Amino acid sequence: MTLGIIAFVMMLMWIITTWAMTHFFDEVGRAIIRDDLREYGVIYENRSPQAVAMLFEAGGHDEQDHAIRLIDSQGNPLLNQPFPDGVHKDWPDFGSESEARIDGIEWNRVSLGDGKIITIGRRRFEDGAELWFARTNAGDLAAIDQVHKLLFVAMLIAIVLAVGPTVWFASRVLRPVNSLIDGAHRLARGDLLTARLETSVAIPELRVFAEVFNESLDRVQALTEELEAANDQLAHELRTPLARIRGNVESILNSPGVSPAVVESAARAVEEIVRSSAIIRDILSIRAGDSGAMRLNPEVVSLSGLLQETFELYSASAEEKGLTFTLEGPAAELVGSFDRQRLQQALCNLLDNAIAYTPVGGVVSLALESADGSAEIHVRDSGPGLTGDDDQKIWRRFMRGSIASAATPGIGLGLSLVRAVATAHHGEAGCRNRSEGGADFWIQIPFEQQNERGDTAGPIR
Amino acid sequence: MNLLLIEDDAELIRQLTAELEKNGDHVTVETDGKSGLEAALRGGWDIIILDVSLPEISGFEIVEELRAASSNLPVLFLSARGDVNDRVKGLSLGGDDYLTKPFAIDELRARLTALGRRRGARVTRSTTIPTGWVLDSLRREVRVFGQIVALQPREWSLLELFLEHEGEVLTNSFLLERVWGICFDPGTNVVNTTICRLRRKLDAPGGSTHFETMRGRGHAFRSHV
Repeated sequence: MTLGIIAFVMMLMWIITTWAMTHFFDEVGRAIIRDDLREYGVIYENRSPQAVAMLFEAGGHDEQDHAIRLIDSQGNPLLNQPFPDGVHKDWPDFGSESEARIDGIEWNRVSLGDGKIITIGRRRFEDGAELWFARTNAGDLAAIDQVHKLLFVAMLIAIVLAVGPTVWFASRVLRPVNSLIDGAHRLARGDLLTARLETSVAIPELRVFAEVFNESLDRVQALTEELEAANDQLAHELRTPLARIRGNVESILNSPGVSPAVVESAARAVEEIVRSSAIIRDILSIRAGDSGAMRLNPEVVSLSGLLQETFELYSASAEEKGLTFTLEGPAAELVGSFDRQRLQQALCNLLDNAIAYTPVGGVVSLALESADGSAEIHVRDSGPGLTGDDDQKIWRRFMRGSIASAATPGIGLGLSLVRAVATAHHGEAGCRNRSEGGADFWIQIPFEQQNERGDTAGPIR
Repeated sequence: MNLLLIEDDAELIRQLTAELEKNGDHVTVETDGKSGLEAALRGGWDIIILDVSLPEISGFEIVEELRAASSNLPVLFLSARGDVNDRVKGLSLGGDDYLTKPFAIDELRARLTALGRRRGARVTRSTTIPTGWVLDSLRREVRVFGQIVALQPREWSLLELFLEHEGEVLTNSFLLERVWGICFDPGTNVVNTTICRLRRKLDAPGGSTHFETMRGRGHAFRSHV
């Protein structure tokens, strides 16, 4: 940008200088010719052509640049000092193209190409003799060339002077500012680990800011790690008391002769304990997924078979809710290496959501599609779809979509688990709104066809 | 059954001993890994119930030692670590079953029965059971008083499991694991719906059901209703 402006200004200067100098030298050239014609005229009128020739030689005129000729009224040369060969030999004929007479001088120009011009002035005396004086602009061109060279050097200096600070500015000021923006973006994405600012900054204020920023991020990260570790610990530790509570509540359920109302309360309590333990398990699984520590237990699985089984798990629920539930699969069977339990759990979470959020009479479909080197599982519904920033938000832990209400079960862990499972399989999970309405949730995992047939049925066939 | 319980939580020990002895089982308790391992190696148990996180020696290590000493005593893990990986680890080290805390006492009982009967006979071709049904395991058909009823694979597996555990309460998670092969709660009512289908297909119309559902506990099969 800066370089462009400098180049443009320089070009403009170049053109203007060249034009102005050419114009200036032209004027100077004419003035020289005019003066010489007058000077030599006086000598001729008062002395003789010989005196003119002597003066021309004595004047030290550069023979390369000037030429002179004196002819009498019959056209016989009294004096002829033309340009040497190679410049221009013949005196041009003025003919009718001669320029208007100014101060008693007729002017003519001969272009020799490459900007070389010969300017000729002619003056007539009262006795009919003519004095011609010619001048080439070779010297002018050399001068202009010199100026051009100087201009070029000036331009280089200008570029260094102008670009130097820009480069310095970019590396010492802009880059840290960009790193600041980048850091802020990382932070916004929740990437605490790498969201750090560059501290080697030339501007002291910015450096202090970066240091303080990094320091607080370090503290936040330490705190987060501590919290998450505590979270894991807490989740583990909660299991034992929950087990004790469950044991005690169940002893009520198992005792004979307890009133139905008590049994009902105890049953509800047990159901809540079961739900709590599921939440604890999900939290621990997702944490493992977050830290990239979700260890998979891969086995040879037929995806088509897995989808069929999962479809069967939910067909009753869908029917009960009055939904049309369909299974669409590819013609060929897809057999690959996956963690069967995890993958099925992810599918179950997607289906559970789709069935919960699709109103009565709607459509839910489970589909398996194979693309180049990957398998895609889609759960599509005709529900209300996603609004606003739902498509980002819902994947975060404990975040539920705007359509979720207190009546829909769940605490917002399901999709986090789906994403964790997909990531652990080196795949992705996402969602989009369908053009025909409703949402399309998908899991895409890299897939390599295995020859062995997968064990797709449960443990008891 | 003669059970060895290796567990360090006093409250759980109290509950488990009380519940299991109510069934007529005999429970011996060890509260740390070291004495637990000694007791396990001594032998003479029908089943060892083993907590994973124990003082001194962990449950996983005890099983390793036990299997290294070529003991094939059935081992059931109890664990506060419910991750699938821990389960896989426990089973691959030589454990026979794995139960995550908090668990239902009914589920522990069902799993103990399953382990105790591991070498017992299964339903074979043409078995008549006390309900008067004749089971054909090859065709997965049940003859109910002369009428032939065909069962879906899952329905058949469920029925088989119920027959193996007659009179016992089987929890949803136990049924899901054994019949559907899933170790998590899928949040569907697939267990209830399949039991409903079994009732419709096998129970006498208008009579009481052989498949009882108990709120907060699970489901039980009874020959005599």
